[in-house]
Amino acid sequence: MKSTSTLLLCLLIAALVPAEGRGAAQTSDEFSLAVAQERARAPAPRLDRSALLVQDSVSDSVRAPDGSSIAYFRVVGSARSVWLLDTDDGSQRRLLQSTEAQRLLWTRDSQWLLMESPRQLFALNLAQSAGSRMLSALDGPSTRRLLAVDPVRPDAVVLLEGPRPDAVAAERWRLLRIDVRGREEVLHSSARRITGFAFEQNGRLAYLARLDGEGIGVYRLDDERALHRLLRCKPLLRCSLLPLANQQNELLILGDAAGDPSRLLRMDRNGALHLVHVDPRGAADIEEIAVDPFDGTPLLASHASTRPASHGLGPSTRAHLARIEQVLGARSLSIQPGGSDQAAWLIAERASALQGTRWHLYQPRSKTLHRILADPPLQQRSLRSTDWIAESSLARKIAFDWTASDGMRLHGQVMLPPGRDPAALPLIAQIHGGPWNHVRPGYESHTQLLVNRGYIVFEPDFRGSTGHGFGYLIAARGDYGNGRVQQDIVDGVRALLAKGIGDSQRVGISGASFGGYSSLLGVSFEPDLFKVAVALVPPTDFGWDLRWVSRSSEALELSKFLSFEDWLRLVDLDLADPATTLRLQQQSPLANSQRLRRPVLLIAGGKDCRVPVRGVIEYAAKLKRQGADITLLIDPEAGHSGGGPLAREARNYLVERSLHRHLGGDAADPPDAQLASYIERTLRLRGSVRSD
Amino acid sequence: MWDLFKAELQRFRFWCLAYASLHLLILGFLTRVVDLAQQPLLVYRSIAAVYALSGLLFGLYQLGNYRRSNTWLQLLHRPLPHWRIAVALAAASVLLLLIAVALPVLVIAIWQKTMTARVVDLRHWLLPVSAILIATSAYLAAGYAVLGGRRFAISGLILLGLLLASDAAGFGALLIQLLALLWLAALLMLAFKPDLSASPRSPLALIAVALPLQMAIYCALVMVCFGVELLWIMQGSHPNNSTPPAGGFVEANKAAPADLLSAGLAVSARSEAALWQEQIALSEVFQVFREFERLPQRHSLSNLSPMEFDDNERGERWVFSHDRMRFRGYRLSDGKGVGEMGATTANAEFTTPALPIGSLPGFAKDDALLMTANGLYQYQARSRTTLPRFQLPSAERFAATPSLVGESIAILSDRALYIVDGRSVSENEDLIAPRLSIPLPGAIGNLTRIDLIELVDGYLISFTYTSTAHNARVDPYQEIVQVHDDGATEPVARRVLAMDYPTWHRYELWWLSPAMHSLYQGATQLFVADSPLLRIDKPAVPLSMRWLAATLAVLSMSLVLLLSRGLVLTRSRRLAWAAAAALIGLPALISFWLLHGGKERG
Repeated sequence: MKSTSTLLLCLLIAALVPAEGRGAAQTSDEFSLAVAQERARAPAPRLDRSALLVQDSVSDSVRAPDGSSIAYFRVVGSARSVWLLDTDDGSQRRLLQSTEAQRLLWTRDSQWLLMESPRQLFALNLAQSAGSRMLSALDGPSTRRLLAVDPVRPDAVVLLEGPRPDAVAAERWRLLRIDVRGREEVLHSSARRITGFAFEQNGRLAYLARLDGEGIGVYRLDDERALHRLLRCKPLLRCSLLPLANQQNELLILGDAAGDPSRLLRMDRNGALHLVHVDPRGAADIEEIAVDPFDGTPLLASHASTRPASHGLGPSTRAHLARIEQVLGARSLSIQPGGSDQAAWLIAERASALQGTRWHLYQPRSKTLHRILADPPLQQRSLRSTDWIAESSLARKIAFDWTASDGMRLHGQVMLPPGRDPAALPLIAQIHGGPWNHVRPGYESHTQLLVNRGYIVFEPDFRGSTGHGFGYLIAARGDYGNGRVQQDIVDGVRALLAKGIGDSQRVGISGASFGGYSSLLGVSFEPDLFKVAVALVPPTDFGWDLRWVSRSSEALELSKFLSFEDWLRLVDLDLADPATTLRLQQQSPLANSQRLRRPVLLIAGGKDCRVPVRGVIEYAAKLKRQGADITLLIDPEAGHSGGGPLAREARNYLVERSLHRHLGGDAADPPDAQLASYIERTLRLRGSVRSD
Repeated sequence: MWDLFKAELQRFRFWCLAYASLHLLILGFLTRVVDLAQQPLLVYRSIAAVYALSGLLFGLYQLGNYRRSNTWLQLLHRPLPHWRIAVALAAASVLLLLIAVALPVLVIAIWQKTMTARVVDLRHWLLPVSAILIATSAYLAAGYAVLGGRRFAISGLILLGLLLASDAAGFGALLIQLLALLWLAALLMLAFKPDLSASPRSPLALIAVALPLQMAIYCALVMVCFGVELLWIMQGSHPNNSTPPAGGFVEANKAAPADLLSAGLAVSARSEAALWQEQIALSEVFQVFREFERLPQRHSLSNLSPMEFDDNERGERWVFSHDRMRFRGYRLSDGKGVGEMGATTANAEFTTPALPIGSLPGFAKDDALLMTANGLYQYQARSRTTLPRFQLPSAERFAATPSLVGESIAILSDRALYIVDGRSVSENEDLIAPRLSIPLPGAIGNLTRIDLIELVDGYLISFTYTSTAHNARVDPYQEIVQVHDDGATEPVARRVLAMDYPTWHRYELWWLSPAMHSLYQGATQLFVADSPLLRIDKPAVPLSMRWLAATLAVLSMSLVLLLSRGLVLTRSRRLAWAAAAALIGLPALISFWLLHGGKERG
């Protein structure tokens, strides 16, 4: 009887609640209903810690423009091999046993497979054994970067050559076309950094984007190759050109130039901008535009903020997308469409409760979908083949909006243990890193572990996060100390508690990088709210850390077009301004270590290029001196991403133990000998969390 | 004389040709495997030792045969002055050694110069000269040992020891070798007389014989002291045995980096010391060591390490030419030359020889780091040029190759420790400015190790000055400073380290004979350019050691006077020996006894 009523409740809720990702502004009722839906699910079985840490054995699949083949990597640990799937008969063959390539692309004629690695761009001739060659070296101080496959020539690519990764002037930037026979053609040369280009349908390079001061200028090239500025995007605004103009040779721009959030725009011959697509909810930036592989027509747009969504940009694609969503349900989809109804589409399906990626082929003519490349995943540590965890055993992300104490509407996501009363469960605020980043709607093993152990996980996209428009990004005004941004997180937690989500006496805060910093701020300044902190690779003084990074080669990785310092100044973090750095220093966990009364788990990497371990060590030393409950693990070989599978599992284990001890979630399974040995080796301060 | 010369040549011609052939064969084989012109010092020393041994054995055999009484009389019983007989024998021997030792080296150098693109500089043409000088010196030393007085003539070998101990390089080394050769030739000529047991008669001859003898005795006494130290080690209480004495410099030398920093901090009065102790326990402690006492000198005969590097992508090897003061390249596949590469894009001469010392993080795959005396250059494979990347002040010299300290790079000179941001290396191609310059608190020649940890605000750095403390060339200590991020340096602690060894042991090189000690220092530094990397803060000799040396001098003088009473010696010579004993001490006394003892009693 009870199960019948539960089923009825589920059906009722399913009918009323928009499924995950459906676009519509959230109301309080929607959230409550989504919570009730999770409450109504069957409780998830306890999952093995290592079962959550799996890797896809197939990755980075790319569809040939003619739809005949799909190239992809098979991955075992860090080893990759290159494979080809024939879409007609489903046969698979290995092209390369081992590769350093990180990305695969096809030339427009579908005859050449391009393999991009950090060092080089290599072209593999699929038509015959001869002719394969390195097209260009990509490393070295004078770098070349692949911008796009040539959208007009059958067998060429477009690269940007610059003197150095960070150079903005003084030396020339060159836009190059290189064909598969290795012939190079300089398309354009500029003293300013080139950021984008677009060809007309006839193959003429007609548009160019380049740095104009700290913003981006969009130019038209006349027949004499003289530049005429059409548009100047203000600093920080995105202004990305699609590499091929439309059938009317009008430029297509993806960015914030015409308002918030980012949108796809068409610029007519008079320079006027026209809207092609924007998030119907007006809330999320465009994450990806899928284009016709032959004429460059934009076919689909996808958004990946708190509510993943894809949109067809024409009647035909809308119909096809509706059919796909009818079969797959509301998912986060990455689609590589074909140029005609004859050519199959390649679809990557992801979701918060779906481990890994599922690959599908969609036949537009028959409107049928079938799964491909359905290899089982590999367990990360042992690299043994294993099974995907059933979706019913994993938690789903629910969008949650709240109003901050200054009135700004903010967005985040919540995961609830299925079938449990959320009011009685401990709550973890899981803060994303960056801070110029946002929480993706896909699967995350760490948060799934927490939820499976009985914690509610709240992932706030505080102001300053990306994905919600330019205004949202710059709203932080550089207040990344114990200020506005931190208050957004506190406000979000309180808003959740006010809705009966989480036990207010059992709230913890956790995160990596900036999230770790925020976690330390949380327990230092809000000890009544946050009872424990888990801080992974945390900067303990954000201003100092940014200064440190600015001296390291990592700064070159972080800044895109502008110098790292200029970019920071534009987001109100001027490192040359003593007042800014003093404020951040005074509000830092490092300067306020004496305020800490709550237990803290710190995990850092000895080879971290973004957060120097010395900041973590000095902070830990201070806490130890004052007798705080501090656990510190330092993996001397780990970088900012936290190290390999063993390190990840050790981190998960210690987090489980710490949260169990201080918030009362489920206890951790004891570590095996290898894991225990790793922890023993790397644990420098044991605090109240001891390895068994 | 000419007949004797020819006869001697004929006597050894087969042996000589056999040696030369085998020598050529071995060098020929080696030169196909490696570039003999680019070997490190140890290889050259090993080859030189073979040449010296060859000369030594040849001299022992040849003159040993002649020394037999009848043969000796027969040899000298010719209508020729003795010195002409000696010259005839020695000239023949030098010619034989030239053919056996120097000629194969010359042939290999000519082959390398004409048949390969390898670098052959003036310094390489000097190698056959050096080879014949060494072999001939050894031959003469052997001859003197055979023909000179049995009690002292072995001391000629000490002049061969000088060749090993001398710090001279290039032409300076050749001059030292020539000087040793001439001295040994003089000794052989003095010994070449009918009465082989007679002592030298003229004052000049006596000095020529006595001086190397006294140096040999001094070195023998040092070896005796070393033997005593070996017994001490065997006994088990030597500071180098197992656990070194607490608080001493041996302990500091051996300490784990964290332990050393911690021990230094223990005497600090700074309020942050307790926090730093915690940080040391949690941190990775980085280390910087002094690596060089001398840097490569132009035209030096040997190499500190091979002066070459490979560009694997291009398949090229670049070798530094001392003549051109530029690198010269050749293809590894076919050995064809690919040109010359100087400093900067202007292809200028490097100011001092440039030593390839590996790479730096941020360099492209085949880029290399090149070090001159005070400048670092980046070989950029992409452009096949060298770019100046770091420059010391003109008076400073590098004391170590750059080392990684976290994301930064530490560069040690004879005056300062420089910290360079890693970003500066990888982001551009310009000259790097150090972010921090930390003056060294002591003399570079005494610096043993630098241990440092990163702080949020700069670094905590320990400098340990213990090098050569065991022979009293520094009073050992450890100094810790904090360097703030803005470059300001604050003292944190200074810890005086215990000497570990008794004073008499530390000063034994000195009190055994202050004069011989000075002579040794002077001889080894003769024709040597001053190296700032050898600068030390040498403490004054303690009074007790001065008294010990003076007592030994007086004792030596008294014994000389006492022993000389029964000898047939002129008064002036007795007084001269007494004065020498007063000045030189024990070596003079023993040399007097060896030269005059047991005979010529009145």
